[in-house]
Amino acid sequence: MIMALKPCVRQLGGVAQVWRCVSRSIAHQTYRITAGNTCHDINDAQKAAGPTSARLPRLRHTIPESYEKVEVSTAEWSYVERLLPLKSIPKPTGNPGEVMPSGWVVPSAKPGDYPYFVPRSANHMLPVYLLHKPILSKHVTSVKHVQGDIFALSEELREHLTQLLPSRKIINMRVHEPHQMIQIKGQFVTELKEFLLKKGF
Amino acid sequence: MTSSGTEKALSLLRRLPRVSIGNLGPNPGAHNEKRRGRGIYGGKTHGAGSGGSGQRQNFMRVGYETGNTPFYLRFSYQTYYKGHHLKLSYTPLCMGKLQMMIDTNRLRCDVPVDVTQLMATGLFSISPQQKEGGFMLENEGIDHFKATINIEVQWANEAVIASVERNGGFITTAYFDPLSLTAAIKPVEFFGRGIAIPRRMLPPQHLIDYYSDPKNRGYLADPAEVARERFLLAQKYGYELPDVNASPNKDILLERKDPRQIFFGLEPGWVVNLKDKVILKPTDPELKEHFAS
Repeated sequence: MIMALKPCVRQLGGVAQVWRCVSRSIAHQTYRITAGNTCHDINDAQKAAGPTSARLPRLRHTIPESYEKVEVSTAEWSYVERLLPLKSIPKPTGNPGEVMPSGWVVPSAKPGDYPYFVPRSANHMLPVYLLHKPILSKHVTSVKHVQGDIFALSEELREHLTQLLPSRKIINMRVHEPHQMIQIKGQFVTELKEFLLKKGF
Repeated sequence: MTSSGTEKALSLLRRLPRVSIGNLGPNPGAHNEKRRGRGIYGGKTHGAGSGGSGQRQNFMRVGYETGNTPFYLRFSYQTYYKGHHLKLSYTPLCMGKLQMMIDTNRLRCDVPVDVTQLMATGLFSISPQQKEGGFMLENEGIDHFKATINIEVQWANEAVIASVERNGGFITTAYFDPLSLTAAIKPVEFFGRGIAIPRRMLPPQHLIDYYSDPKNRGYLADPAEVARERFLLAQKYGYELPDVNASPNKDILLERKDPRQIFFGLEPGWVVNLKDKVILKPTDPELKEHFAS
């Protein structure tokens, strides 16, 4: 798996030797392997002109035909397949309710457990978002993709928040049924996520 | 018999790069660089030339301070921008996010994790043209990091290295020059271009020291010294280094790239044909020597 190239730095000692190596390699040109890209051979003209006349510099202006010869191989195709990204977001594996080291919880609730159902987003995360325009001191917490009886969930959320924040007299809440969303004025992302995780969503 | 002028022209033609949109330009005088008229007094004016105070929009240039040396001309340089064009910025990746990607199967751990695999998750965007160098690992979540991975990033600090190594993983910091990074972050697009995989360039002078230091697990450092630093770090942070030979993922954990390699298992000089699913390798000894140097 580890290829047998000659690393030009690893075997060398200090920085000065590294740069010597680099300048040597810059002297090489980069060639493109193209098919049928041969130009007129200028060697005849150069020979006719003689050694004393103005010679072109070391740069080669014909691409030798030997460069076009390639070896076709499929032995390393598995390494190419490794690089191809997946076409869709992979499904997480785990037992329902399992808490992963990062804090991510596998959902365990099923539609029917409650009058409402809150599925995970496309990235398998809880659909609780904070809307905040930095220029304004307005924060709105929103729970999206709520299916079923959204009003039942909104009542439960109101109860939960009233219990958490007894000093708060008013909890401004907006239930938008067609958009399947509940909006609450303030920053309650952590509290709502904990609430939903406890329910198993 | 061709004249020397024609010969010269032909030899130039052979040497110069292929004519493309990128190296064509108009003949002098082809494009009329007519200047837009300004103010109310110039010919072909675009100013409101009818006169009257309500129509005059004859502003002075921005910054003009009615004669005294304006602020923007008082100082000949600004030192805080010195060298800004050389400095790279890195996409921050918290250890907590890395752990979450592994937990949700978003990041595959059956292969070594490098820039390509992190970009394949689709959760990040890197633009090498904007002087972005790749990924740097951040401290947030190091205490809860539990995965055993072989990861290659562009920048990592001591605490992050310790959190990876105490779980039996390996971390390497590696430099990708802009062209190599463009290939690494979008390999499918790169292979579609039909050009040979380039050799990865060495870091610039101000980064060579970082990537040669075994403390940073630099890819140019001596592997023996890196192993020694792993042991010392374990002692410093107070954990025992797990034995890699006992791990079931031993092959994955021990896979490393050559300093000139962009992709694991694929050498510079190879052309990958995604359509026919084959790899074309050069056979000419000069080419092979160049790509292997």
